[in-house]
Amino acid sequence: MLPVSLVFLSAKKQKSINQKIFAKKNKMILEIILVVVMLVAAISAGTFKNLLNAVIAAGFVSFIAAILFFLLHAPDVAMAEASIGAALTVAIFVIALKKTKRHEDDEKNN
Amino acid sequence: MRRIISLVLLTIVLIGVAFCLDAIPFGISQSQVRQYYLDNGVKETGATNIVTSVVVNYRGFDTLGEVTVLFLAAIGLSAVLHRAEKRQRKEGRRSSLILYTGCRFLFPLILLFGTYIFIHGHLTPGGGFQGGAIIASGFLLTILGCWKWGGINKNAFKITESISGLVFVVVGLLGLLYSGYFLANYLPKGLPNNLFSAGIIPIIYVAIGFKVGTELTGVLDDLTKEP
Repeated sequence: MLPVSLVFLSAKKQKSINQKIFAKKNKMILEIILVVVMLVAAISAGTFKNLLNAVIAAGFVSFIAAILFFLLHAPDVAMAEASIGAALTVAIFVIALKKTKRHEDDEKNN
Repeated sequence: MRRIISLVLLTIVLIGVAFCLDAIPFGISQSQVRQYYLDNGVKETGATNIVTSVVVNYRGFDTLGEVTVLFLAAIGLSAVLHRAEKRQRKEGRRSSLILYTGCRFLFPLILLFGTYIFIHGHLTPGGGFQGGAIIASGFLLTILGCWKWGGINKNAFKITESISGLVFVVVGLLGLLYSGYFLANYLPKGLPNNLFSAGIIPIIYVAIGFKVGTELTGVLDDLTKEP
């Protein structure tokens, strides 16, 4: 009876350890995907000619940064980043764009 | 020739930077202050959120500087955008009933959430800055969605902002009076994990929450008004 229970316990333990490793791997894959998407969004924010698209891409960078902060156990910074970077900054930029020009090329023609 | 010289100089600079970066051990904490905060933070300040105890108690003076920077930015923006004649928001297209009702339904909930975050700043993640920004985003929702909403009462917002800034400074000066240094935690700490604990931290965070919320809302209001 005893060895069976021992085997059972150890198998259960092994299973939980496997699950932990699996979860860690999954989290790492998620983080790598997020970082890649963030890099793409950041580069496109710099290269878009339509400034509204660029502002939205910059907001997307902030949003993914907030998710990454949360995954790295920094919820305080994640909250600040999500509310200021992804909401208020984008809104202020959009309001400023509405009052100025929307395309970057317009300046050369004038 | 100049290109070759600049390339050589650039290579020398790059090698120097690479050596400097190589000398810094990455991923290893150099200071022991982090472990000190983790060990003694709850005991010394009474706040279970260590980040809050660092931001408001151990480094409270820096936070006062941050609040001042934000205040100066808001003042500068309103000074640039200020016009002598009274400005009105242009009445745009009427938003649909669903949008209008949804905004009116969500706005008090967002305010409540922001208030919760800055009142519970010493217990759960978040604090004055985060709560204030959430409140400002609630006002942004009304600016975008509620066409009937005519604008904030600017004077009331200015008064709230000034009073909350004054509360921060006066609480700090009382610390100078009672305990000998600015922003000392002179109130009783109470039991950790209670709402009324951690001495002056909740008072300061509520003041910061009001201040940041009113300031960012004032910025948005200044920007969206048509000249």
